[in-house]
Amino acid sequence: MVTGGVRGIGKATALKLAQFGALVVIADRNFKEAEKTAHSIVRGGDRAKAYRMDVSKKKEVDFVFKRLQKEFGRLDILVNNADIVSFTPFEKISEKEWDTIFRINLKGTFLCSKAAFRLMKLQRSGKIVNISSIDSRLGGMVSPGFYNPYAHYAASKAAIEALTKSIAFEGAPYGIRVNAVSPGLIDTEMPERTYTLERKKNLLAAIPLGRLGKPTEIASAVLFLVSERASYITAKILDVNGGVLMD
Amino acid sequence: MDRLKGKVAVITGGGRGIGQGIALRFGQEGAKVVVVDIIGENAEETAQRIRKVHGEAVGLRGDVSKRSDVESLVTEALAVFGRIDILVNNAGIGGSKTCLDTSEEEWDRMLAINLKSVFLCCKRVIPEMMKIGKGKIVNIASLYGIAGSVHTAAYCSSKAGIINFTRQLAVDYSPHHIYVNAISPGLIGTEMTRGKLKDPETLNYLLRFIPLGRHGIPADIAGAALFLASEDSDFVTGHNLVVDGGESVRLE
Repeated sequence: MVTGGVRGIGKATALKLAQFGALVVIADRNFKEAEKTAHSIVRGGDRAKAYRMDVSKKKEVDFVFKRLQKEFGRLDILVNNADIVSFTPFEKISEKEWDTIFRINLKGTFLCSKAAFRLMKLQRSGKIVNISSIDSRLGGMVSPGFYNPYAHYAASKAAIEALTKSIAFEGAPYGIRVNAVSPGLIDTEMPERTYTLERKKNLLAAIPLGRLGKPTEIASAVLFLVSERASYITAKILDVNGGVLMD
Repeated sequence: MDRLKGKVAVITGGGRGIGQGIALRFGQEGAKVVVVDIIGENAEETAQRIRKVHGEAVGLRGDVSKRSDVESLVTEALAVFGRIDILVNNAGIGGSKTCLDTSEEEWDRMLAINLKSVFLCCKRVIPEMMKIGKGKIVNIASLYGIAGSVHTAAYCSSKAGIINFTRQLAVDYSPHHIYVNAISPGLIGTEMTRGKLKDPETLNYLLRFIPLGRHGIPADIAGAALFLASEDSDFVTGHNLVVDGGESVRLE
């Protein structure tokens, strides 16, 4: 299952997992968009299915995971990708805006992981990958000329990294591996994340590899973490950022 | 399969343990493998195993802590396969002594074999990668390069050196599309750790710190090295990928 798998990184991840043989469930608030992605995967000869799900609503999440269990009998991989972002200086962030970011980004990851855990524990195997952000550690400051004012977003992603480790500890005895991918600046073509040409120029100077990342490159990192290649990796944050932050 | 098809990979310390695991996996994935080891027969044996199953490999004897050896090893590798796409700096030794118990000679030897060798190999191989316009370097560090541990003064220092040298190389050679990353293995079953692992009491004690409940095997590290040597990691550089069954959380 890939949450928020209709655009950008989520869509690229869904396509990649399907390409490598997984039956991919795309779960998104926007069912029409989820269906579109699923259809394009099926048309390409791979397997996919679309579900409507708001990751921040417990009832919906529980319902969808029950349905998934009934339909497929198991869940091997969960990619917690659904998130939202808004750009607001810290002092201007309202309580409502703060809560919305945390409800989708953090609570969504919590609810979906918890529902997935139930199935994965029964199977005594499973992989969870959470999509974090370089700003969990940079706080929005990529370089002196480039600051993203989104304290709430950065904090929600830092929380996801801590959550990743806690879940990994509790999952390990059941053969469940839990890791995060922490993307740097990715060219997603999503309206709220598109950079103007001038901003791009500023940005590129801060990235050692001299370019933005591609959604498929995050997808490749997710694929690695859920594959046998990462058999001994758990509770880790995999940085995919072109060298902006070297941890 | 075939994730490294046509690539030429040099793996130091490839005669046994983690290096051997990496060499075998790279061979399976279609790479032409140059296995380097200080024990010539071990290098040749790994190369033979690759040739038996799949494809092309050559075993070379050499001491990578010596500049003249590195020079002749790389010259020979180029003579055989014509290019070098991937370098895995894996050769290293272990050691179990406090600062006060470590002699100057022991310190120098540890730093020469574990750290200077990485410098020498990179210095010789990076220009070859620049000629191709791309390269992947994977340095094998250790969990002990991130955290201190008992009785491992020189070893911890050498491995920490590898991790920051990795970042430094990544900064300088990014414009040349040379990607440099480290892997920090946790407890892996090899010749180096055999002593610790054969005593059930010690093993049980150590496993208490590893969430996945087992020690790693060379194949676990090989999978991670494969990721960092393949196109799948083309936006990853300067990273230290810790492969330890979850252990390092305790140490960070």
